[in-house]
Amino acid sequence: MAHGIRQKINRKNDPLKKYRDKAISLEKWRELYKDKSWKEIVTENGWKQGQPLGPKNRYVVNPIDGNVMDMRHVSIVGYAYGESVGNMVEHIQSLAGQASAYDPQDYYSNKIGAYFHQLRQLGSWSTNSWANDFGRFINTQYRALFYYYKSE
Amino acid sequence: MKNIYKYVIFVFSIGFLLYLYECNNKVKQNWADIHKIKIGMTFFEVDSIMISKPIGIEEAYWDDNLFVSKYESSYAASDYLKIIFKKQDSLVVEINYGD
Repeated sequence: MAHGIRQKINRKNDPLKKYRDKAISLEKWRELYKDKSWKEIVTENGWKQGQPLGPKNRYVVNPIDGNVMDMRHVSIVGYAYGESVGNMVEHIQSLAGQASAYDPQDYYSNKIGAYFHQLRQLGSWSTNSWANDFGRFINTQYRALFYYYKSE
Repeated sequence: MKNIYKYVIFVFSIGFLLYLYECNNKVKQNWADIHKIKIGMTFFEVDSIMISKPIGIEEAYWDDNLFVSKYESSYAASDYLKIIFKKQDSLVVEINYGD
């Protein structure tokens, strides 16, 4: 019982489990977006000051470890701009006084997007469905790539 | 003729800078106002505190029983400032600061 309570407390404080109440499963996300292009996915929620706002279903539970992926950071910052730009964005947020600067979930999601981008550039690996490829990436590659990942 | 172009560019630049200044003021005002909002306030209380009008009100994608009021946030923020209300009684249940 004590173990169960401790697990619950850890889950609540884990920065990579933030927004779990708003998150959907990877399978559901894949089903919703499998027929959409990358551009359609990243602009689904519209634009803000010249930047796409990402998909409406922004948070997805990673089926491998239960962490929550922020698909805005995965699909735009990590996938399109790369990790270095993602790190810069966090510094800019801090300079602008944004409370969400240096959020571990942002770094985590950026890294997933950047790795996925690298793999998807291998012509034989990618199909015409960004969401299906992303689901396959998480189910087959994530465990090996993020085995030693620490959020701090 | 060249002077006319210079004049047009000058006026346009001043107008653009004024526009940016105005946007920044609006964002600062929203940031200050949203920190006065508390969980449990009514929609009308929120409306009287937030000086700027919301840029959009929509149903929450994760829960049909909630609706979200969105306000302009700073250029560095990942998302808009959001105040989330319960549909049933229009009370604030959550506040997002542009995460």
